[in-house]
Amino acid sequence: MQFNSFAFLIFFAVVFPLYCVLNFRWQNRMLLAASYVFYGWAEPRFLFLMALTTIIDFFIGMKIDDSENALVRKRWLIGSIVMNLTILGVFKYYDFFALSIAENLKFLGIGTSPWLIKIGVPAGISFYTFHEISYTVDVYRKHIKAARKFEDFAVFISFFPQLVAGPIGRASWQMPQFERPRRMTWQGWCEGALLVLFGFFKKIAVADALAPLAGRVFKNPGGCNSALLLTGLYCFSIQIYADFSGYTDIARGLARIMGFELIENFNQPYFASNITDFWRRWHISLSTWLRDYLYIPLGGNRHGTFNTYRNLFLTMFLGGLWHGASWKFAVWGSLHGIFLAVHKFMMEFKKNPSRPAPLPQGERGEGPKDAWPVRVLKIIGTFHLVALTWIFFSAESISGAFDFLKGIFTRFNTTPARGMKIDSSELNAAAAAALVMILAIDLPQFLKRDHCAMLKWPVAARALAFATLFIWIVMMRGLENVPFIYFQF
Amino acid sequence: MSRSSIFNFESFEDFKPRVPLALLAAAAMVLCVEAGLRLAPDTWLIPYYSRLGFRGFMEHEVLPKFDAPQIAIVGTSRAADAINPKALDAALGVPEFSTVNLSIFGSRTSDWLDIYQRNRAKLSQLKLLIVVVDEWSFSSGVGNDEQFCLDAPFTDRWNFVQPAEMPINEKRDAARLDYLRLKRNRLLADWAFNMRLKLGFVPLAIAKSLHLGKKREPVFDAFHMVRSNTAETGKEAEDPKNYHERIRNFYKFFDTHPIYVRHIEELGRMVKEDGGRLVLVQLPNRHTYQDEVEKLFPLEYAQHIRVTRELAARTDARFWNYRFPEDIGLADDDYEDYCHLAMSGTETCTKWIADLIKKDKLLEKH
Repeated sequence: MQFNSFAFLIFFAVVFPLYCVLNFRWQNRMLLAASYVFYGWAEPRFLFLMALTTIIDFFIGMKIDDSENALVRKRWLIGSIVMNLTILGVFKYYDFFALSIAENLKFLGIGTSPWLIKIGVPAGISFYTFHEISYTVDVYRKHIKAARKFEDFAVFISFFPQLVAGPIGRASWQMPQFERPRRMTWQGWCEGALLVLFGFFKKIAVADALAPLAGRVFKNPGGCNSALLLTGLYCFSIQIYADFSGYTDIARGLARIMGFELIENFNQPYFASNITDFWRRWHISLSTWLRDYLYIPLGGNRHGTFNTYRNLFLTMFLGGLWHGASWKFAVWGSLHGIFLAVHKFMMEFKKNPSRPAPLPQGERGEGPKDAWPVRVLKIIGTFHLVALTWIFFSAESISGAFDFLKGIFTRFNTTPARGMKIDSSELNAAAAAALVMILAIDLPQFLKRDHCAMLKWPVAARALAFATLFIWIVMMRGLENVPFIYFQF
Repeated sequence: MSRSSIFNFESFEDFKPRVPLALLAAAAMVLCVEAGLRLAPDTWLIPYYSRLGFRGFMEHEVLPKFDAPQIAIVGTSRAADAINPKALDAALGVPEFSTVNLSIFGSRTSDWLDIYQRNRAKLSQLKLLIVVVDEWSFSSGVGNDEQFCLDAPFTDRWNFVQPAEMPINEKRDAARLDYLRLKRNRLLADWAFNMRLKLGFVPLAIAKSLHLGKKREPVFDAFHMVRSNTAETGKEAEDPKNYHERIRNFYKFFDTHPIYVRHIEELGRMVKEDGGRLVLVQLPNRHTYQDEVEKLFPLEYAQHIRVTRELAARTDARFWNYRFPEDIGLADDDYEDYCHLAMSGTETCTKWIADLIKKDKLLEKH
């Protein structure tokens, strides 16, 4: 079920009043049932898979918690991780790797026709698998006690606002919220409703308006000139942010209305002044998950310079593959890994004791505080670096991505192919919505460091902002229901 | 209720509601905008050259020129470009201003029904109403129906998702069902909020009121025609491969939707009640385009023709259906693009219509 659908409107109109009247035990049971309805709405055939892994991880969690023997605990943990990653691997990656191997063998003159599963990727499998791994690892690390009530654990895994596109739940943060009564507050309702409004605005008015423009260019980069390719790239860069952060806002808003607090997932990533800063702000739930459950277990920065860079690269490479079974995602992740490693190297170089003492630290501790023009330049530079990597993320293939890149720097004077011209009124409407998003939502959030900064505006300004955002959503509601980009992962 | 009860509202223990002033003020602003748009006269708000405004142009600028019309033509831009009323009057030997071409570019069956209903006092004098259908006239899968989004009765909106005939294709069937649901939701949203369709015109209307910018209006020409200016010209339009995208747009969610069919049934009933005759016409497309249509969507095209024939039979109407241009003496050169006729084609087509009217004695009393 999509948040931006009529079905979801009805769904929430039934679930929320029920949630309000029930005690917390029955709230959990009802949320569990509702979450399974939400998940199985379009494709019920994968429900069993989620149910199966949930049951197994519930029992493994108790086994780990109940044992004092380190070896036994470790064995159960390994069992859980292997089970989860095997299921993820089979359903999400098997066909891709089987085809890749067959293609390589064909290149060597060995013809094979691999057996393929061909049943499609279960929606949200990457997300709930990471929820489950986070749970068993946190129990193993004794950060939390194992859940003793199945519905508490099952609803944590399947909680509908975050089930199919995150934020990726962290057991140590979220499990306690399912194990004790929640309190709804007026403030929570206001903040939640505001986040939902932001989310729908970002999705419908910005992302969906940019989607056809970006889609047209990425589908046929060969038919575009440099200007069109750049326009398409900027459109996609804004679209993916508005789409994904819009989803997150709706998820967090709905959860907050019900008295839950989900992990923050975006913190104005395009205001980042370097690539490390970008990853502190973009898909935070994934980057911190990868840090805590992959980068640090790999050794983090504890085993020398080479290993640190290797770990950084490996983490980002696997993070790229997490997005989808395609080499283009691997390249996207690898590029980020390289950029992060280079940035880390530059930071290390700056810290070299033979160099003069640095200026006072900046706000985030990432280095000396820059003068604002320098900072603006860094923000623009970081945005373009990130945008460059989106080419690999969104292109139909790696060769398509290279064509796209080459086209930006070579096709200055060519005429776009028929059907590739961008309608200026379409572009203007989308650009105006994007500007409103930046000025009315992102900039105040960035400056005040508060996602609900708008709630502190004077009544008249707030009312005007709410009315404007609402009207814009109504105006831009198209006839195509564009799915959230991250639903495919 | 006791604490142990399943229903105990325990989540509300610390809940202290306040008056949501900003929310109420925002709601008031939205309502004011909506009410303002509904109250503003269309003649002020909606420019004639827009798809929504074109009907107004026909009603306020074209129709008043015709005191006693005997023949009216309704249809889309294809019909607007195909029939020359002045030439038709001459060919039929009726007084000038007897034929009025009320075709509106991008219009749907609801527009044709609407224009008849709203101007029934004058149009009830008609001896003949010619409805020029397009292949997508009865299909819910074409989005150009702004006027329907504004004017449709609530029951049509609410019941928009209903069995509609289409060639069997499971994959497309599922996609079409999703499309129908989305369209139903949009129709309901447009029923509640006209702003999606009207708000965008406000800056233009204000500019017009302040006499800023150039005045743009459709042209009622010396032939009593309001040509569409929507033709795609140039070499691109001549390459059949370039038709594919357009054809797919027309047929992607093709169906025969009962609501659109009912509009013509209702139109037929009223025309009959007023003593007139109804003729349904399917004009031929350019030959190269028609070949592509039949290559890509043969079943859909055949369904459209069959449905129109059955509709004609039900409404006691004639159905003039010609598949290729040469069937009525046209050549591909007579077209501006895939279906819009150039002036040479208009001449031929008008003559062909006049011959059929004379042959079938449609202006005589029945």
